[in-house]
Amino acid sequence: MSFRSVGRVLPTKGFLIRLRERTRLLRSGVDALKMKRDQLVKESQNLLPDLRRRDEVEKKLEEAYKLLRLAYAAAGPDEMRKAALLTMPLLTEMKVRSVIGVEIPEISMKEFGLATSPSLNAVVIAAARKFSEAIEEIMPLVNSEAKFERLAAALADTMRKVNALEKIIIPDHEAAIKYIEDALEEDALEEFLRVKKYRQLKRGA
Amino acid sequence: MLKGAKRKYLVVRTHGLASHLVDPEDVRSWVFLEDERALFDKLAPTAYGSFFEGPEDLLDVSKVEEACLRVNSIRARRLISLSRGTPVEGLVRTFMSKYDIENLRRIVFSLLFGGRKEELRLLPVEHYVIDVEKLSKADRFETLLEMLEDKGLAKLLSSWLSSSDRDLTEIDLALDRYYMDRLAAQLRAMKVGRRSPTSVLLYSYIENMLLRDLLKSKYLGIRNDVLSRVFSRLPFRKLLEIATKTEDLNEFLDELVNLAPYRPVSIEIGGAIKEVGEPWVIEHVVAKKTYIDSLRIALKGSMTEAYILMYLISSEWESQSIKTVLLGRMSGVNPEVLYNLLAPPAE
Repeated sequence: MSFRSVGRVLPTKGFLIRLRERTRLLRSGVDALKMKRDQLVKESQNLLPDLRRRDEVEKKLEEAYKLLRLAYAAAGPDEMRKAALLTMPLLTEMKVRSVIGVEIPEISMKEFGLATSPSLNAVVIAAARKFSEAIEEIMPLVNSEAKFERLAAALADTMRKVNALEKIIIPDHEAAIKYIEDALEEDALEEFLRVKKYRQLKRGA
Repeated sequence: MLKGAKRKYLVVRTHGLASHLVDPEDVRSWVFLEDERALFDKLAPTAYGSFFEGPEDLLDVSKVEEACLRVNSIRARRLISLSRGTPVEGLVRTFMSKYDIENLRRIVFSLLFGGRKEELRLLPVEHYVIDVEKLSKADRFETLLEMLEDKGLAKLLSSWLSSSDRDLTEIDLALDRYYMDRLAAQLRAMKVGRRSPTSVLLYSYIENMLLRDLLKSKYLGIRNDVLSRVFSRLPFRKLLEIATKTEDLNEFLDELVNLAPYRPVSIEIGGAIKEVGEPWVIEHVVAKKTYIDSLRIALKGSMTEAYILMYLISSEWESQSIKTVLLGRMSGVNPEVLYNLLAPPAE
């Protein structure tokens, strides 16, 4: 006899013991996964206020792009190339942190110097300032969104595992245990009858 | 009044040249044109027409920028060739040397932020006073100092280089101050009276330049001691006094609104801050004021060198306006915003 998630089942006492042990382990695994699931949900819920700031940050970016358009019109790309001469590239640092076994990337700004100079057109300075403000606001949001995405993926994975264990693997194991118990009981009964028959035969003789 | 026949001839020729300038009201109205074809038809008969072969060229950023710079340069070169050997040549060259200063500034920036030489792009205009093409070959700041023929400029840059803090904003403002001093020195060399329209116009130009620098310095939060050091001994005491006693741009604008000549500037910049949160209009507002002031002063001396200066300033404003219209349309800026940016404050 074979069960999908148990494999080939031998109706022996030893196999039954191993199977019971395995089922007990699976049940405790389900409990651990449920705890992980609850913790992941809690961590994800804590991120919601940060994630709700997306609209606000998008509005800031929109304002920055509006000023960039104005800068393009009022100062021209040549002036922006001059501004680019002064600008230091944005340097970031990425660290990986583990939250309940889920690896979360965390990006932080290492160097972000907005070099502006009075000879630059005011509209270019204004656009640069708006972008710098927007970038400073985007960074925490980027971290929160990345964290949320990883947590959500881990949550889906955990739910899938819990469901598989609860709906398929554990019931399969239980069915296999039941099958072995039935088979062993049948064997025991058969053995009892055989012994009884043998005694009757022995007494008659 | 001009004394020599050549100088009179120059002013009369400038009157002729000025008649070819595009009416600023026309330029403003172009923001509302439906398509590039209609705009091309308007531009074709002007000095800018020869830079564009068809309506599609009006969408080429590099062509638009080059046309606007070159038209200005061509006009100045014509004046230089007409005035060769007269003090007016020196006046025009010195006035236009701001483009040399701008290119020098770019060279300085590219040398200071080493390793970015490939990003250096000079304005496509021939030099007037400082040979910036030669200077652009300098690979180190020290080499640049050695190559500079103007010892005053070399001293300015080397003293900044040897200073302890090497404040970028200070050298930037100091280059503007150097230009202002050159203009004043040119005026002294021409021996024109302090109350002559030429002198009044040139000082008004310097004052507006100072106003622009102070507004941007306040916006950038440049320290008052830097401003005092860079702009000391300029004859605009009231403006400098306000600038050095106020802490930020809003305070500075609040003080400026009490002074009649600066009121429209203060109001317009204050309006931009309220609307967008940033004083992005500083350049256009001050350029507009410079243009209007030059028109007003030149009217009093239409047969003096002041008219020549007014022509150069008007040409610059025209180029800036046309560039704003073309690039603004290209980047989809609201026509109303563009129109208001170019309209005089009284309108």
